[in-house]
Amino acid sequence: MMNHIRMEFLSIPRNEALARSLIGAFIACTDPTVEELADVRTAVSEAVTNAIVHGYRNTIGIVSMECWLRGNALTVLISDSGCGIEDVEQAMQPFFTTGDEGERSGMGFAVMKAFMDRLSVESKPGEGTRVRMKKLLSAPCSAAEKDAVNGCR
Amino acid sequence: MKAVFDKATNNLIIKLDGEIDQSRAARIRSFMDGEISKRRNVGLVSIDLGGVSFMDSSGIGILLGRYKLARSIGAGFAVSNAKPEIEKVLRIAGIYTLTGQDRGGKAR
Repeated sequence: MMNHIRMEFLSIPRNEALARSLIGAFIACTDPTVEELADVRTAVSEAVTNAIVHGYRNTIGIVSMECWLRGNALTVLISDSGCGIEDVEQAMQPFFTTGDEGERSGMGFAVMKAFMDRLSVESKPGEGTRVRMKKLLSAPCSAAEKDAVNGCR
Repeated sequence: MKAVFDKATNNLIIKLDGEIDQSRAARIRSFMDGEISKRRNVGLVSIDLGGVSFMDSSGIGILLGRYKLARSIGAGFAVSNAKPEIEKVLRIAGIYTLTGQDRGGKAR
């Protein structure tokens, strides 16, 4: 069974919580463990926070979040059209931060990496960033729904 | 958020609650800094995460900043009562290594 959602929201801080709620609702059908749910919600929170704080540098832009669930395989793609990352490899080093205002821990990518099974980051300065994360959940959706292949009857 | 200062031990216990992310970081930071700086002779800043239901690396940034502040006034720093999901974030960032606590927030 397969499910897919795509949404766009403004890069304002309160949408970090919105994104966490959305991903939680999206995988709820798999009856995730407390740990799995926390892992996925935390990883999504990191990626969306990065888009807001670093991608758009607290200006208003569009963050897009796309999720797929194929069996128990979850894929999440979070992208922005913000300022992009000069050196992705350096940005992914634990404790690396551009060190602008506020206290950033520099642990965002490290958390995403630790909490998901796979993480890939594509970025071009001036064009934006795409963060793709994958995780195998312990179970697929519990309710076996019939695929709606017949359309209108 | 709540802070309790024990004059007998000079321990300042700061209880955090709810979801800790970037959107709340500034408010949490200024609350903690206010509580720490308005008292003299703080011997230990102890952060109670028992009421925290979610925390991402924004919380790590907050804790690291308060750790430095506590050190700068000669106080110790500890983190306690984190739920297992939140402890996972703390461990990745090595918070317990800094505070000299075992996994689970117990003093070593």
